[in-house]
Amino acid sequence: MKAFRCLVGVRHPPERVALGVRDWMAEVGPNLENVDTVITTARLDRPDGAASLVNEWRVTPALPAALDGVVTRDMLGWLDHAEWAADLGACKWRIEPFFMAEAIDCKGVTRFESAMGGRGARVTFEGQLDIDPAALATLPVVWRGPASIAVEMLISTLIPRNFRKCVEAVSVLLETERQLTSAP
Amino acid sequence: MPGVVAIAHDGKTDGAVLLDRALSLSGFREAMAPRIAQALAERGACSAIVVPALDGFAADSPARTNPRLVEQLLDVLLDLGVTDVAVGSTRATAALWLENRDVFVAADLLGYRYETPAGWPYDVIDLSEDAEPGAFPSWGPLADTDLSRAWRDADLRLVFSANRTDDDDGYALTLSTLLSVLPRTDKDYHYRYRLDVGDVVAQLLAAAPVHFALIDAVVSGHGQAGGRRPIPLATDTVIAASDPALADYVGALKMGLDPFVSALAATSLRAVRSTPDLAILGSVDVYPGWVNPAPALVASTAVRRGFVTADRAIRPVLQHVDRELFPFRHPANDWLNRSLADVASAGPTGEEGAALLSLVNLAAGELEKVGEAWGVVAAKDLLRQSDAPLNIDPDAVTGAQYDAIAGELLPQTELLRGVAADSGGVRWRFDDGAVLFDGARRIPLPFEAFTDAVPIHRTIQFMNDYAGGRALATARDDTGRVTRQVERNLYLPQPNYTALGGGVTIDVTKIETMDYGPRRQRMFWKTVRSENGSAIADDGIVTFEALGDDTLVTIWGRQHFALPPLWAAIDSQITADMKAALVTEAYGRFFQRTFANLEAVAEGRDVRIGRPWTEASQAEALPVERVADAVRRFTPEGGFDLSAMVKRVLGKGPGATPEPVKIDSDGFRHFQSSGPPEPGPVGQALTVLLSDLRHAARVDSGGER
Repeated sequence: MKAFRCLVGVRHPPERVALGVRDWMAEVGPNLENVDTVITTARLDRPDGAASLVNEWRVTPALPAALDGVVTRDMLGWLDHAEWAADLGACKWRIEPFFMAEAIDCKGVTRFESAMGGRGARVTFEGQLDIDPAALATLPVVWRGPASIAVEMLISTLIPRNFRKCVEAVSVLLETERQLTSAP
Repeated sequence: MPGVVAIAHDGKTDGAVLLDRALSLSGFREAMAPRIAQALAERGACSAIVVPALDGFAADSPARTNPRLVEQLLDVLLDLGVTDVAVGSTRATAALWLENRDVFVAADLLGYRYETPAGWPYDVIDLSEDAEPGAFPSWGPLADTDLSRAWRDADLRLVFSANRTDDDDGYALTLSTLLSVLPRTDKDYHYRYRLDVGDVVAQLLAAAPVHFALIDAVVSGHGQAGGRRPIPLATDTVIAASDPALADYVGALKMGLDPFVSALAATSLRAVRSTPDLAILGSVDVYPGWVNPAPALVASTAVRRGFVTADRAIRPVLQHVDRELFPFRHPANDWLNRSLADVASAGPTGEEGAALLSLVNLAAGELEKVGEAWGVVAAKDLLRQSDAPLNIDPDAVTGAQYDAIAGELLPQTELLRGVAADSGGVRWRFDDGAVLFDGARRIPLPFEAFTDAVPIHRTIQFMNDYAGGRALATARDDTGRVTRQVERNLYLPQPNYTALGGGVTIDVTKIETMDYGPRRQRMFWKTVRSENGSAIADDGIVTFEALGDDTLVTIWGRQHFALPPLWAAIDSQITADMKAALVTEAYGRFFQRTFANLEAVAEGRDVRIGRPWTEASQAEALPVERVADAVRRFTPEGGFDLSAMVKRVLGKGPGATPEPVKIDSDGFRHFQSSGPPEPGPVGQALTVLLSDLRHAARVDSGGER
């Protein structure tokens, strides 16, 4: 099991940041490095304010030559199943990669907490990744090592990195919005 | 108010009590009261900004000022009648290589609660956000630097530093913390590498004096690794002083250091050393158990700073960091830091690491010297241009001094009368250890066109081997032409080959006058200072004269440069003929290249040698970013083979069967022949290291995730 954690501080109230992360991914995502598209494929808003979302991420990282033929472009991405709390204080998520989905268990929680005396937010993204060795056994021997490492990198590095950039991009949008609304 | 430094020490109480005692002992409240009363009377409001040390890289780091004490100080200020209190700082160099180093986020992660213990809200402000020009004199090191409007306008400006050792300066106290008022992010680049940081701090203090300074030495950070790995030590002390330089002076004494070991503080310390009626209240005994950085480490770190690229590359690698709070931006730095930060600060108080790091620093410094010498002799455009501010106050130069220059120099031109010109038209002779020389060239451009293109007051900047400096016009004629100016010039070591044996940059500050006639313009210059003692004399006259349809340019000079010991010894041994040949060659080359430069300038070409410093707040790309970029550009199409790298890194398990290099379409497995023997342990380690470095660089470049 590999655990990962990412902490991002921004100068906007946590509720606004959480709303942006929940609702603006289609807008923010494609501006991130190595992200092609983010599409919300399912959304269920509950009466109490909670919401369930499924976002489909398509990414385009440069792949090592060893993975040519093993991983194709249409396998690069994941479904992000998210359960948002009604108060927007937390979001439980589960990643379902297009590649080796049956071998991978990746889930976690994102918390949006008040910081800077209410002027900002501390956003914590943490999760854990399990790769099932049995599932890897179905791959040719020469591909197991690289495939496992590629998946681990994809999930434990690219996703937290993108998450940080997402939050920062949302923060920029919020800043732009604030400036627009405060303009005379 | 007379100078006062109060040292409150008590091992049986807490920081809050110590702070209160230090404030009482130093007369802080009494000193602040009139200022507050005046502001309230004038504006009905009074503002105070406290600048703390935010240099901690972990929540409880002793390298940062304890936020609880800062908040307690804010309460004291509010009790005194201050209406608007804030904690101020700016992003520092570490923000370039670590995440979450934005002022607001870092303050939050380091423990600032935005509410004082008494329940008053306060703000954390980024002092770069309202920085404006005009705060600093146009001739000094910060001439082009902005300064926070809020800081300038604050009725009370306070600095509250942590108490820590530092391998750059021996110690880092209030004057070091004061640097965080300046707006540019890469403070190392803009305020340490480019400029004399001691002058920077002195100018900052002069432009916006600090009204009181405090040192949080309740739990200090000591040890040889300084802020890289601050080792907590309970020193149970708070120091309060009426001036930050006084606070640092006593703070350094308490560490058992000569306060002047710090180049950052030294200039400011000299200014307060003779403060009249100075009162030092409390014990100045050295903190028990305190360990300072070894002098060799401080000295070698200064040497390493001379190699800007190496220094910028190595700092992220050496810093101990709570990665959860402040993750590295670049995986390569992350990986290198994991491998090397502990090594460079090894030992109970960092002594083993310090010894190793001193050697590395010296090696980097030697490399830089070699590179610099090579640049001077063979690749001048690889050198960095020098960014040397004026080092005399232009207002202190009298009109009589300007007026005397021409009268002093013109008669000396006669001393070359009768000297035969060499084949290049250059005349020279010795005079009391100096060389008197002149030379002329007829440039095929009409006088008006030439003088329009080549402003005579800038002539020195177009001379051969000009490496940088600054000029400030102090008088102009009715048409706006400069008639008087003060100028500091830096030249590459002269002759260039002395760079191979200790030759130093020629650094001269001159006062200059210009006169403009219808068919002749002249500039006179006289050296009044040589910061590094490289010149005993460097005076001269340049004349532009109309000569038919051409312009005649004449340069006369009297130069006496100090030779480094090696060259002085050689100089004393060589024959007069050989010496004459060397002088002839040197001045021949000087004139040839200077005249060529003037023609080039007349044609609109840039003749400056070397690379300029960038003005960008974040400075140049970090070395790790440049390496990543280089890897991306030079890696063959298709990327590199991660599988092969992984196999190299992981190696083969015991009893593992050889793996096929290829499986063809018929299912046949192809194997590599036995080939050369496996590398030994060192070879394997190097392979792994190179593989990891390459991989990390690829990740940084965005080519690999």
